[in-house]
Amino acid sequence: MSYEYEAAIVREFNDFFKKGYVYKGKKPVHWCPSCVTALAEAEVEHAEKESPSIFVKFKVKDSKGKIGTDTGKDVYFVIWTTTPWTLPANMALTLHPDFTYCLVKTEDGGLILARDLVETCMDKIGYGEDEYTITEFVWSGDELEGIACSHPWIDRTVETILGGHVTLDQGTGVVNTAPGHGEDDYKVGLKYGLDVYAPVDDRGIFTGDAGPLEGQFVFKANASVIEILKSKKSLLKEEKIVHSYPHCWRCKKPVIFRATEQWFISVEHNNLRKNCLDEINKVKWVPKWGRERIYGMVKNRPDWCISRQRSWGVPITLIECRDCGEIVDDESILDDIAGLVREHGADIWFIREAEDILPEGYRCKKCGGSGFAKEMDILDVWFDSGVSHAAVVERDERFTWPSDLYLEGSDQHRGWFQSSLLASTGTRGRAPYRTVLTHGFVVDGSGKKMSKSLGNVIAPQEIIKGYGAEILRIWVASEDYRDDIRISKEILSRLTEAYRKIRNTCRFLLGNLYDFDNNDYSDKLRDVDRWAMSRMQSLIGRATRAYENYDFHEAFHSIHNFCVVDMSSFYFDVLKDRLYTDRADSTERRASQWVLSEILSALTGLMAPVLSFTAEEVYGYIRSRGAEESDKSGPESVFLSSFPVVREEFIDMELEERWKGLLDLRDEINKALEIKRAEKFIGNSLEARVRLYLPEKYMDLCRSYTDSLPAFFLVSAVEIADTRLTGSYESIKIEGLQVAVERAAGNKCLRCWGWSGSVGSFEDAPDVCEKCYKVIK
Amino acid sequence: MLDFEGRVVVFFKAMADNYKDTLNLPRTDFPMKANLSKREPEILNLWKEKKIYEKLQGRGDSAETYILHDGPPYANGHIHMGHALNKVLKDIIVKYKTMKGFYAPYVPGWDCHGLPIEIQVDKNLGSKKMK
Repeated sequence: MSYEYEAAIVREFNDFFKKGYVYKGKKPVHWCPSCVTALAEAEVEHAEKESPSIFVKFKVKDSKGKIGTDTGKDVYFVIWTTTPWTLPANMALTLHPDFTYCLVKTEDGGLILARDLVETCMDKIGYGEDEYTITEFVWSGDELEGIACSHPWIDRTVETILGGHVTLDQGTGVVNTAPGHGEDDYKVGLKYGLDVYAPVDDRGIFTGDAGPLEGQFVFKANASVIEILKSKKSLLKEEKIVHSYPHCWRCKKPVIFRATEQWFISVEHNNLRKNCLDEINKVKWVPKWGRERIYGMVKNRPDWCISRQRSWGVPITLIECRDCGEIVDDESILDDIAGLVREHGADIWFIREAEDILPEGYRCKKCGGSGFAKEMDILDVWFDSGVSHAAVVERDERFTWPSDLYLEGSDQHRGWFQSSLLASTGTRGRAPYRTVLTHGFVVDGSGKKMSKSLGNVIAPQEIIKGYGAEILRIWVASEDYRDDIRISKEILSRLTEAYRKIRNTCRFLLGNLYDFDNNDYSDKLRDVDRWAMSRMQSLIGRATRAYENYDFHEAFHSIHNFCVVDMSSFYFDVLKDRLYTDRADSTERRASQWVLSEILSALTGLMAPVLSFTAEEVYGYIRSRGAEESDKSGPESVFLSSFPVVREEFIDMELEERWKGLLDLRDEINKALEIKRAEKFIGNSLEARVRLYLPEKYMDLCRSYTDSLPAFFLVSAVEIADTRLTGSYESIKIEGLQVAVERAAGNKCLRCWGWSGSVGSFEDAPDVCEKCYKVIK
Repeated sequence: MLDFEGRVVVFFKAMADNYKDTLNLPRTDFPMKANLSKREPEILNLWKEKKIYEKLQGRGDSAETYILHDGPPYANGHIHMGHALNKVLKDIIVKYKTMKGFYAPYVPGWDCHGLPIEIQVDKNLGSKKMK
């Protein structure tokens, strides 16, 4: 890390400290006994673990008149837990104030648990249906508050308390409460003034306070706890379960909740939590559910535990008086420390003694003491990354603060997005970003996570080498990244094929512009050209909206469809006759070239953000063509050119709509031609003439394009019949349409391949049709 | 797609030579075969030589800014598809915004965690850890 960045971290920490957010407290935190450190929420991963599952009874010592007198001699509250090792720290039993509890008679005494869970629990514990009786003793939770029970083996009175966090999902509705070992326990314990007790050391080993358990590792001590419970006749049932349990992200071992002295940033101070929630509402979250997710997390999060007992990181740069524990809070000293770090790096903190960091002769402001100690914990790494908005965005002169966009995987709502939000809102009063976009994770073709053991890992380098970086880029753009996204050989070959189509479209466009004169023919367009220009504008509009909304798959598929459907299989097909066989400088050919050149430059621009390499390659060819025309004025890279904009004057939605009818007809005629081709009745479609019997709605449309129809349908002649045709192709898609495919009359023109009665009429060119004759003579 | 390497060309090749010369058949050196893994490094070099990125950055003073702040990576060794997905998405956005006229500098985030290194150190020296 750079000194500059380290100093920024210290400055930001100082700012939090100066503003009063930072406090030291004993609180349960996720603790990894193996790494010997506290962990943040974001550093905990859930994984399967086998744990004991036990039902334990707590004997009522003094019901304070709340239970009644004729309930039989011994009455117990029953709890269920998967962490027997937390029982030494048990301080209370929590009930839900609104749940109904009842007394169940068994040979083991009267058991109190939530009414709704009686049957399930009795069954689990192993009572047969005739071995217990549900009595008429029924209470709501709040009627049972404050009953004194005995801890199963420790001389401690454990009271019943009330908490809204109790659920009926699992257990008995009575919750084992150890404020030193659980977040909810801690919170409810605060309300009741319970001791935050945790007789477990840094390595997860019971201390002397735990009596018979001293020296045992917590998870191993589960067995001892169960033995003790058995001997005290407090154990109702013991079994094993496999459940989701928090593990350390570093060493992958199970973690524990443990109260320790830690440094915290209070999320209640200065209304930090509320301010963050307000900021969340101002930020644009893509996809939308990101808002709900981070909102829920911030709403429910505990104070931010920022200290770590590690050696690799930026220290918490606080100094305390050895005599009274007062923290040195002089602003100038805090600023000097940040300055020191900037000059020497954070290691200076570990090298210099506290007295050398403080001004000479410095005395504690509270007690006048002269001995000082440095804090040796380091900062949570999520604090380090959370302040990047200050260390990078604010300080780098290329940037402006706040950022427009943060974009990471959807695991960062818990991590960087949240730590950045807290770090920025706490000191700057607002979120460090305007938009936050998240993506899912990469999985294989069948939706499985990639792993070495499954052998389904595909590395990016493999794709770049084997297929090209462009294919990797297309993969990213073609899939909806909001969900998990799949990759496989099959997907890659499909994308390679899609790429080939786009590339060929570009090649056709380039290939037919070699002799274009670059004049403006926009007022010489035919309807088919106007249609193509209008389609192009629609594409520009759609792709632009898609890019703006980060819907890249929408942009990519629109571009691909335009190339395949609108261009290759229609417009280019129709144009070929004009482009290849017209007089080179005929107005019609030039007009179509003008359209092709417009389409080429727009298409190149539209695809450049995704198909960057190919767009640049095509752009180079456009420019070098320009060079021959002594027109090399354009920018030298497609990225220096502007993104295409919609030209309103070429939008003709009415024409597009009308032509939809023609394209539908064309599809049907192609089906009829395909049948005849399969029968070897014709080879090339130009050998055919088609007769159409049209439904009413297509009649006017076709009559208005009589001369152009052969070109649209790629046949030599089209005739519109007045009466129904016999032995023809009957369309299913267009009801009432009949297509009769016949061999075209006349002979084949050896120049344009069309069939015409005029072939053979010209003595000096007996092999060509009249149209071609006029061109070559 | 009926491209001009397809059946039209086959047909025209078969035609009498005297008519072929009268047609305006497509002409271009733009290769049909992409050969991406060979061509891409050449284009990268071209961008580098012509200092295209630097030229785009020259807009700093006049253009509206668009700031994408790249997150600090968790460097755990090898590059995987998740990295590719993340970086390509960012690249698409920055390129789009740049072509829309924004000044959109891209500054890669750097790892400020150092954790993976410490885990390795812990693995090697675990038992000697001071505590």
